[in-house]
Amino acid sequence: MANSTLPVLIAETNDVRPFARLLRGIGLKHNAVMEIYEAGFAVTVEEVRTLCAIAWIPTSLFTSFTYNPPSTPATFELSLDALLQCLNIFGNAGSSSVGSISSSAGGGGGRTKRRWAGDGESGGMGGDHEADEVDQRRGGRGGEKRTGMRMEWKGLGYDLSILLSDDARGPTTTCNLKTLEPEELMNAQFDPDQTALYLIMKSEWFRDALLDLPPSSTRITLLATPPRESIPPQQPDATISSNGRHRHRAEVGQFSIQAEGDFGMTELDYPNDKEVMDKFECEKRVSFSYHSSHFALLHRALHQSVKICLQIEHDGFLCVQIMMPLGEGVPVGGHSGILEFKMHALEEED
Amino acid sequence: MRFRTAISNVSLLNKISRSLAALARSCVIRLSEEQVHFIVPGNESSTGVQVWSRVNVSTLFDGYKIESNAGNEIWLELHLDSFLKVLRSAHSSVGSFNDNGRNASALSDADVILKLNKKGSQPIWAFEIRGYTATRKQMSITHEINVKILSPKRQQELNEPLCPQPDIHIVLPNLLELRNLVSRLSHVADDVRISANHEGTLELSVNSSRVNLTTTWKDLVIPTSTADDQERVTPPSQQMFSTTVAIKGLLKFLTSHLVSGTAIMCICENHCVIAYVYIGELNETGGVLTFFVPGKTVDDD
Repeated sequence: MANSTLPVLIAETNDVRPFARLLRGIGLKHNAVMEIYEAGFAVTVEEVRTLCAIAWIPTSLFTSFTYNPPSTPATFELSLDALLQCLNIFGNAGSSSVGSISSSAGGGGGRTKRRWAGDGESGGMGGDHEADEVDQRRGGRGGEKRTGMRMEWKGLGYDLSILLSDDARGPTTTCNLKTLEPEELMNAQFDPDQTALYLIMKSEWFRDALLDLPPSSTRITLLATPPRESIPPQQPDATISSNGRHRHRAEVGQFSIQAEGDFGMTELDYPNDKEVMDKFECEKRVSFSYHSSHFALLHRALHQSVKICLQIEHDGFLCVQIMMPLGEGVPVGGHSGILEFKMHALEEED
Repeated sequence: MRFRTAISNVSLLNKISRSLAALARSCVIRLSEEQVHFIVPGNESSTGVQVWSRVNVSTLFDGYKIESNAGNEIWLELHLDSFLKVLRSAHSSVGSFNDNGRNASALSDADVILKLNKKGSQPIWAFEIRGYTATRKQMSITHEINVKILSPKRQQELNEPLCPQPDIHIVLPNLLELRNLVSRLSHVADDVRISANHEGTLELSVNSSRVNLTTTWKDLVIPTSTADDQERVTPPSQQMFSTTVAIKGLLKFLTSHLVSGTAIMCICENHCVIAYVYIGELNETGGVLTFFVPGKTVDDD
């Protein structure tokens, strides 16, 4: 208990945007569980038993990170909404300042759009529209404006306090976020020994695919065939080149995303070519379906990311890891933040 | 009753009307020989915010002529919506170089004449916009909006709110930046506590079940006290004076960032905040918009 007088955590940064961006990526519920480690933060959000999203936030995003391990694990629950609102109090860490996120992420298909944490600040007040315009104009001109942060947590039972400022002469904001005893997390672990599919590709490829999926679909099917699969029978009405393409893909193996909507079926194929896949490991054919609304949540997380790693267990348990661009001075093997989404496959349809 | 003038500063009149329109649907305009008063009484706006402003005639108008039996004063009431529509048309016709570059509908050598007329028994404000098109053809656009002439009885019912001697005056930070910040606070809570002390510290704090948030400005200017202030005992400079107001109400006042970037706020502790938005420079002001934002009583203290 020698450390009992020292705060458990002091973290400082001169730009909160990378931190806020990671948190926004998992902003699918109002509350999140924050765990503090030597290596950084793990912020977890869970939709009851169906979806688990974790933001791994490394210490390299901070200019200084002091962690004094307490006797009990440094874990608490807090309002993710409120945290994001605080970080954006000077308007430098909002969704608009990192480029607009199209609302197609969860919308479309007549589904009512739920407002999650960090969904941008549209709404209620009469003049908000103007404010946004102004924000953007300011962002365009003075791209140099950054919000700096000093975060401190004294320990169990204390608020998480954050000091923010964007300018030495400007105002400062202190936020005290209430911390709660964390809800118990399911956080099912992905078992690497059970891997049926393992692939790494550019986020861009994957994000474009998500955009193309029909909004009316409810199921999304991931399908992967290993290399040197038997060549599919030639379609009588197919052109020579498409038959050739099918032959090639059967040869090298491929990954495809399928979704059925009201107006037909969309299928996006990714052959295991060098320019498409960084890595593709698949022993035998796998095919699992997932809830499309959960998949849609990935869209926002993919924003500004560089690569994704997609893994499926033999029983269909899916784990998607999204890697953010490396910041300066990140050591080899380190990262600048990873978002992880895990979900179970849907039961097979009859 | 006669009233005729040219509007020399359409853009400013447009901005003033826009910030008033954020508060209420209609407003009272009191025209006198020297000044124009824009009034939004408390019962007009949902948040209880009131505006009592006066602008020098020369700031807005040119060739101003007014005559009436009531000491050459005319009080009238109009719908801000229709007023704004006319001003927008006038504004685009006079062609503003400053706002969005020169727009296509602009006329050259344009002027805007405003007259008080009568159409049957209905008093109207007639706006005549005259100028030349790009091909040097003369063009004239006339807009008419209904106005209501206020009876002396109704005039007497309109009284500026009585406030205690303010506890503190402070020059606010840039209104646009303040507005953006306050609009973000509105996502956190409904009310904001405004505090200031004589060291030039201004604090805005909001509390919710999830987070307590305080934004602090330091070393803001405290205006030098006027003569009648000096009789008062100067409070210790660190002592904070506070009032809690609805963020919605505060935002309504902050729409006035359109008119000017500088304002002085005074706090009557636990009663209200009053904001003076100056048109033009502080020392040679062409007018001032005064906003009264009522305080809210809070349970805990």
